[in-house]
Amino acid sequence: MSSDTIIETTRTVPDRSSSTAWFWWKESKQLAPLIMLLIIVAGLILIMNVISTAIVNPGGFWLPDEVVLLVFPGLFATGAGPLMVGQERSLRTMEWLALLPISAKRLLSTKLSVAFAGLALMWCVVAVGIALFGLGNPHDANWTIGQRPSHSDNPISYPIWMVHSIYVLLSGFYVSWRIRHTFYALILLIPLAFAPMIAVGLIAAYNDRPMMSGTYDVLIGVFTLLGIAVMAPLSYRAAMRALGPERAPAAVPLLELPRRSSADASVDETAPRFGTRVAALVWQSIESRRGMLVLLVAMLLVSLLAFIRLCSIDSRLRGIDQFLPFVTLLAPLAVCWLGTAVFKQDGAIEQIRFLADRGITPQTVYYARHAIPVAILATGLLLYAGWALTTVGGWDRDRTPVPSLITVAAVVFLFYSVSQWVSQLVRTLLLAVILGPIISVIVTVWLLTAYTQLALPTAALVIVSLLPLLATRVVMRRYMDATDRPLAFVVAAGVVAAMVIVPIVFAIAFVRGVPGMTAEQRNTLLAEAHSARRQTASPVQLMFLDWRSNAERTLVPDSQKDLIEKIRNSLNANSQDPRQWINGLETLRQGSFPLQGDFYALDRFQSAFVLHRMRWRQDNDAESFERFAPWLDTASVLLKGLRRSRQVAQQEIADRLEVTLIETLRTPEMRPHRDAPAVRSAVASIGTPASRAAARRRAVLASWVQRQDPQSRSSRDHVAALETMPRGLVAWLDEPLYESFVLAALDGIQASKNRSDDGSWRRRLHSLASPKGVFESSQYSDRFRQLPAAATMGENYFAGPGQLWGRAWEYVDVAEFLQAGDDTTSPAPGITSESAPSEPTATPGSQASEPEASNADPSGSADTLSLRDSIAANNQITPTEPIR
Amino acid sequence: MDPVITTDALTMHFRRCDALMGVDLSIQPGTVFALLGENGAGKTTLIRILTGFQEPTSGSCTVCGIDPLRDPQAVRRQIGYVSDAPALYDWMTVAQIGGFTASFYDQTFLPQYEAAIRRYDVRPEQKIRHLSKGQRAKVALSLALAHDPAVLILDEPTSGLDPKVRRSFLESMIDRAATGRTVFLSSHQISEVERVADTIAILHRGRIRLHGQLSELRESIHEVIIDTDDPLRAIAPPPEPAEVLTEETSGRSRQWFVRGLDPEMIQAWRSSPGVTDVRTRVASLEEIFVACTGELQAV
Repeated sequence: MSSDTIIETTRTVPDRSSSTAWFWWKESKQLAPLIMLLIIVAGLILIMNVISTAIVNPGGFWLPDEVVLLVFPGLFATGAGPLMVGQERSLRTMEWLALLPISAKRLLSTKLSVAFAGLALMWCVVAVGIALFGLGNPHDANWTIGQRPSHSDNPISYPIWMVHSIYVLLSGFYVSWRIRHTFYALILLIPLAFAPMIAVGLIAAYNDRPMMSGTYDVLIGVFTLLGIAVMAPLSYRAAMRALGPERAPAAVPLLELPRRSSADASVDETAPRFGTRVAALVWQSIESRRGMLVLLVAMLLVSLLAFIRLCSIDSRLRGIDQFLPFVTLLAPLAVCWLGTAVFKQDGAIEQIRFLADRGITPQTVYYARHAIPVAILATGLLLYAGWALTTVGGWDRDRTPVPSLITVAAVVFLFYSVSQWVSQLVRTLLLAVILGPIISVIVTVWLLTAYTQLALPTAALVIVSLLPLLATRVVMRRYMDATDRPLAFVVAAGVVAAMVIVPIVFAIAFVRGVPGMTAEQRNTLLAEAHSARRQTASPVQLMFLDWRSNAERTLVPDSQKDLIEKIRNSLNANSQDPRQWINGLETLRQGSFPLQGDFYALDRFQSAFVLHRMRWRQDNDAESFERFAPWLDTASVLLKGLRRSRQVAQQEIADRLEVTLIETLRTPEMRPHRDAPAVRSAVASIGTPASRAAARRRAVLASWVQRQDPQSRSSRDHVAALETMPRGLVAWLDEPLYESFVLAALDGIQASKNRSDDGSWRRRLHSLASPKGVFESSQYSDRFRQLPAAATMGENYFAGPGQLWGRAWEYVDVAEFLQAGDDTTSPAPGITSESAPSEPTATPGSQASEPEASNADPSGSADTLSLRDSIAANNQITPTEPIR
Repeated sequence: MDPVITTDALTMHFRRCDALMGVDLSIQPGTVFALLGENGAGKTTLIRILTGFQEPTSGSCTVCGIDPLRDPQAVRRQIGYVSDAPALYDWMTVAQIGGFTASFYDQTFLPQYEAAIRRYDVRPEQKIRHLSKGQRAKVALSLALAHDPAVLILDEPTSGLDPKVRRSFLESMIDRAATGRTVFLSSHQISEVERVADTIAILHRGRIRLHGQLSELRESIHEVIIDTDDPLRAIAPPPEPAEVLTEETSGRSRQWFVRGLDPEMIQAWRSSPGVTDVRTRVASLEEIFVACTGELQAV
């Protein structure tokens, strides 16, 4: 290179004429790693948000929490002092700087000014972020600025966050001027940073009552301002002392030790002897960071004791115990820093280079560096396990839950694994100490979320968790030779990619494993579904006009009545004419409106219906039939209305009502009344397998297409199997699972229509609609379906739809029964609880047997008592006793 | 002429050792002063006290008439200092660190710095992080010299420099001294010191063992080899004020390094019974250094 070129290049230095400009430039550049760290953390949080949103809430975006943004200036304030002062001191550039003609005051003031400017900039970014994303909760604010309501419901107000960040900044400078060792400085900074909160907590503990949020905020503000007033002069004094001549040791030895030059020390006197190479490495590993290890072990023990104390308290935390949750946080911090200590501590790099120069293998050094931290963590886990074995498990709302050993071990392993990886990747101790815990938390939360909510298999979790350890092992040789870059970054990129991609791949595989419809099926069925939905008129809601007012109900507390009277009142409640009791009945009768009701309404109607049926059958005279006839007529109107509905739930209700109606019509006592208008109307309302199949098919398809419209979709409008799926994949699984349900339901409907049942649709419906049980003991099983329909239909819709499809009641000809001779007295087969089982069986490939009326048990009563009847029976009301 | 550096009974006790024990020095302006000593002898401690980084346990010192403890900034404005392992901002480029440092000095700093790095053939756009040890030393020297300090304090300055640059640098030290500037050099490289130093001091176990003009010291210390007829024959040591710095016996020969040797002493030995031959010569600086820092110092 020619001289001219050199001069030209030299002159390309930005023209900063004043030393102040140069000084600001230099200090700002020194903050660059911290800014980069914050950008990385923000980026990671954003990426996790994007991934989480994409998985759980496709199409949307979850904004970061307001507190996440508010924490960033605090992080900046924490790192600024140690980076601008602590690092300069440990790298000895401070001495070089002190050689320049700069006064100590100017040096201190410039560093502080740059740090404050950076902090102000951070707050500007935060303000823009809060305004841009519309964070905060202005409607529920706890504090005010002047007379104006604030913007946030955060218990600590924005001004106090700002003042506190200034306090933390000054504290960071103080500890960095005071303590040369960066790690110890940061350790001291933790209690200092939380000192105002601790002070307020102590006041609350002294008063033994929780504080109002406003008082809490003001007190923290007061203590923080007090902290600033104390820290400012302390920082100044510490800086002046650090920048002045180092003081001579003042301590005079109590014993007169022989004075000698350091060159006198004999190797024979001081050199430790080691039997093996590993022993020497372990010794180095302990001795080089003894203070650090002692501190971290102390943090772990204190945290464990705090957690034990926390778990022993079964009431609200009071007094000094309020600090226990915060003290327990020392443990994860200690675990992360044990990981950090593997590759970063004062002098760690030199120690590793020393070993590399002596030909020690990377493998030996790697394991030796990990040996002590791993031993400490293993001992800690053993202590935890020992204590956990003595505690009673289980969930108690008032007690702190005790995580299982495997959970704690997994979290500890992830924290350690990630922190040691970060410590190898990052150059400076300070950044490793701050970044390690943050990245560890993010990775741990991500992987454990993937495990619990994204169907990440255990084996994959273990492998992905091992990747950071594997990465540091792969890079170890180059790290020892100081040639680890750019390989370390390439490997790191691979680890990050694997951590992100592997859970996503498993999640995609899981979603794809759920069979939905083929595109062709979907298109065909959607066309039919849209057509079915369009043909629906507005539904009439099933509503009861109760004879008792709410006020009357509350006049006499239930607890003061005796049981019999309660039952009597309950029965009398439904003793009126259904035509006056049910709203909109005439509309239903005259029009073609579908009916919409819920299972509770049906249960209420059915209870009243069965009660009146029992009274009629007990009296069995013309007068009692006259009283019962309106109920029969009403039931037929309701049934028709329900069958017109395009909702699966309404068809299920219709099935149950129809079973009750068929059961009623199939009683011998009904034959004399077969020409009564109510009976004729009831017989006419009974459908055929084909008409029911058509109604069900329309309902299944219309419900499917309806749920695709977000406006008309309800939160319960999903198949039950979705509730057993990984929560994070629910949004992706909802549609294919429902499609599977639609296909299974359509197969079931077709099988019922054709009276052919190979059981496959029932197995599919069971797995989708009631996935928690075993099929063989479920309500879809052959055994269950052999029971009479009326005895099994209670409120079991919640255990899955389609349980009544294709069963014997569907194929009963009521008109034929009523027209038959008087000697036929048996109830409907397969309907009542007393009837013989003769439902279509589920033998694959076989045709279900036709239920034969003549095969039915002739001895039973036609009245099937539902749940309400069973309760009455349990309360020793004999069936023969008239209940009025 | 007032000395540019003085120390008076300078003592520094650390917890487990005494780094300096009553060090008295007086260095005249316009000289190249070399402080010699073994590792751990206290050289760096002395320099740290002189530059105001370390407070001594007792004693006092001045640099350019200023007490570095009272006003370290004033001292540092007068001096240029290069430590044995200069700590520079490794994220800066050579040009940037020059520009940064120049902003605290007058307008002459930057041209001088640029000339220096041009002379040392260091590329200005290179980051300090990527420089070799020798190149870092060159940058550190350029920064220390660019403001033309009255006193240049160098702690092992040539460590890492190649022989050509080392020679050139050392010659420039002589030139500086010729212009009235003072160079305070701490080094192990005896041959280099011998070539450039006017005054030397040998520091051993915290004490100044020898201090004076190099030429005078050379004349005052002699190697004396006395051959005898019997290895067990006793030879009387030279009378005071002469001082035997080291003694070594090999067969019938006895080797002494003697300070303040007088021709009459030689005659006395020659006439002693059993002495077959007495040979003397002026000791080299290296021999003087070894003699002063050897374990066996006196008979």
